Amino acid sequence: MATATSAGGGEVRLTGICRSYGTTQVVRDVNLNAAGGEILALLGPSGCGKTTTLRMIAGLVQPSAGEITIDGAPITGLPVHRRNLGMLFQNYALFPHLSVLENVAFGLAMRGASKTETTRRAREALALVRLAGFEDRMPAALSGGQQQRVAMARAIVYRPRVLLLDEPFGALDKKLREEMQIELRQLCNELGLTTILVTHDQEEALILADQIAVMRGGRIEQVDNARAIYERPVSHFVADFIGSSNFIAAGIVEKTGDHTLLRSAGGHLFASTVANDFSATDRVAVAIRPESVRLSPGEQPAAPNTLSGTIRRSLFKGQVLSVWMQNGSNGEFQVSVPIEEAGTLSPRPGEIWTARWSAERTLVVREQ
Amino acid sequence: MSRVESIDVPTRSLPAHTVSGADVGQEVPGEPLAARLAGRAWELLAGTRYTGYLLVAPTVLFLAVWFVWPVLTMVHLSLTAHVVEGVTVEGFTLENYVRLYASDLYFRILMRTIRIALMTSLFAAVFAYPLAIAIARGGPSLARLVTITILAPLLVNVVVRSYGWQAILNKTGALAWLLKLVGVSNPPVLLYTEWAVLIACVHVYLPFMVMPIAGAIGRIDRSVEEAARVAGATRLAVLTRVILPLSLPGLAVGVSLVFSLSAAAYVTPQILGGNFSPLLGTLIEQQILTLNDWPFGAAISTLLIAMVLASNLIFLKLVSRRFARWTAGAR
Repeated sequence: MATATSAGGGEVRLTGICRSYGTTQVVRDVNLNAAGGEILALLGPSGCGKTTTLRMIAGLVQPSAGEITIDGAPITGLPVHRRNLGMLFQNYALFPHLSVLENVAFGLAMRGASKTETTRRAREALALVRLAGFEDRMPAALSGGQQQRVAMARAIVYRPRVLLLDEPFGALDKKLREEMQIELRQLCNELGLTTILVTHDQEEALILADQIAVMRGGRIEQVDNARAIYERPVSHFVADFIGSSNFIAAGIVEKTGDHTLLRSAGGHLFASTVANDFSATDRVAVAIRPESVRLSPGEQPAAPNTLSGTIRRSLFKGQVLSVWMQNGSNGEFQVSVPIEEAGTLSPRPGEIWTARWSAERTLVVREQ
Repeated sequence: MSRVESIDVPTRSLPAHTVSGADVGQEVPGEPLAARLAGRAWELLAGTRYTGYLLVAPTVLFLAVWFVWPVLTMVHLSLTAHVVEGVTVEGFTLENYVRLYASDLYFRILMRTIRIALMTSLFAAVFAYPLAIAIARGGPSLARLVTITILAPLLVNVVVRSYGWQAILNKTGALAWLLKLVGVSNPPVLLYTEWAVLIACVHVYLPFMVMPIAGAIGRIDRSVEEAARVAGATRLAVLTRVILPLSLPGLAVGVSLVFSLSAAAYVTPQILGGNFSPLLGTLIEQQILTLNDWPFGAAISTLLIAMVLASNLIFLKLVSRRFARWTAGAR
């Protein structure tokens, strides 16, 4: 069945894409590349230009400058209905006056497929999203998850070159959302569809995407796979947006190969063995993930990647114990202690503890 | 607050020092009595299961006295009297209705009325869609411009407007002049034909079609249209497959309004159709004011009301049945 609907995804390339409304630039010089069959997530806070970028690929918004190609062929001048794309909308956007089968068949009917062919393929697509037997229902009679599946079937039934997803799971509750995410990922991989996903939910991007493009203020901040974005964020913004981090402004004092030595205003030394492209003149900060830190009681002698401070508060969060520590010159510092260790290790407010982390976990990021 | 408290309302108009401590805590002592009573009345009105009935009661009462009762009297009259050679004969009779049906002249007028009302609805609907789309989907300034333009005829008195059309449509009028100018040697004279009535009716009743359709189109989720376009629909296909079916409830309201208004139109057909193409309204006026045959006039009026009511009910029923399917499960 998978082969029957298999499309073989197109390669999408955005070159120098800009869009402005009046004097407001919403998208500035975006360059992106989604390889055939790849899932690319545009991730960023609201207003970062991710949805506008997606809508430009769909043709619902015209770029002010730049070019979009699919498999090398420019599509920028092509009207929406001739781009052969599939799209999932945040609110599903099902046709309320058409039955489930008619909804799914819509794209095929628009392509002039015969009635028997249309029905056969629409049924096939419905089976693929596990909605066989719902053909005659009206969208209003379906649950959110079912509507989402209908929208999915409607988008893939005519074998589009690229699938565009605009915050597709925003309206679903957490448990259903996770289910749908995994289903979607399987389906996209099965069909080999190139997929571009817009989301503000970092977890969703991490689960679904092969590549994540983090956007901010209309620009691409970083493009990489999920793991690399998490482990080697290039900027304060990315390190903060994906997961959470403690930031300490510092300057590079020495750099040899991948070894970087930094010093904060308070005179603390930090050593990093994570590769970075910064030099001594760049404004950078040290970023440390709360889960990279190990705590030990009492004050320890000063050393690189070591901070002592007073425990302010601790919070039980299920899998981890979150601890906030106050360090004189560097402000508040957050530490996540795995709950198995928290039994033997219980920092109480007011006590002095020392945080320590390894050079492989010391990230150097660009300060804004 | 419980209802029992309403008993002590009068005591609150007493000087402040006599007001009990509990009262001071609840209300500002200086609040005027009228405002407090209004507030109390509002509390009693709102939030009970009678609220809905109470809200419509004044209108229902007004209509019952000034509309329903007169109409019933009219129907009664049409069934209890008929005029024979200028003399009114009392007693239950169907004579008026038989006469209306049997006479070829009256039957033709009835058919013409229905025809013009239907044609007006049809033409108005065709013209209304582009305008409604402009209002619902154009920018705010375009929407405002279109709205004002189509509402403008309603601001002009019906007599003035009709004579205006007469000046355009008569033998030496503006339209004939324009047609001659572009080389039509023998331009058709539209005045005193059904066409003149139709044109004027479409002109003035157009807003009643545009507004509900624009409302219905405005309620269509834009992403539904976008989904159709991405799925491969041309703009025309979006119109016929998405906008048209989803705006049907608005169209139904529009057709219902325009049909009713043009079937009952009097001044416009009178001035532009003259005695060559009278409608039911003209007939009623003749019977009552010229021939003084009130029972027959009442019968024609009853027929007109019944006809308009029946066609509205049938039409709205058809549309609502279709529409109910879209909201299935939301019930």
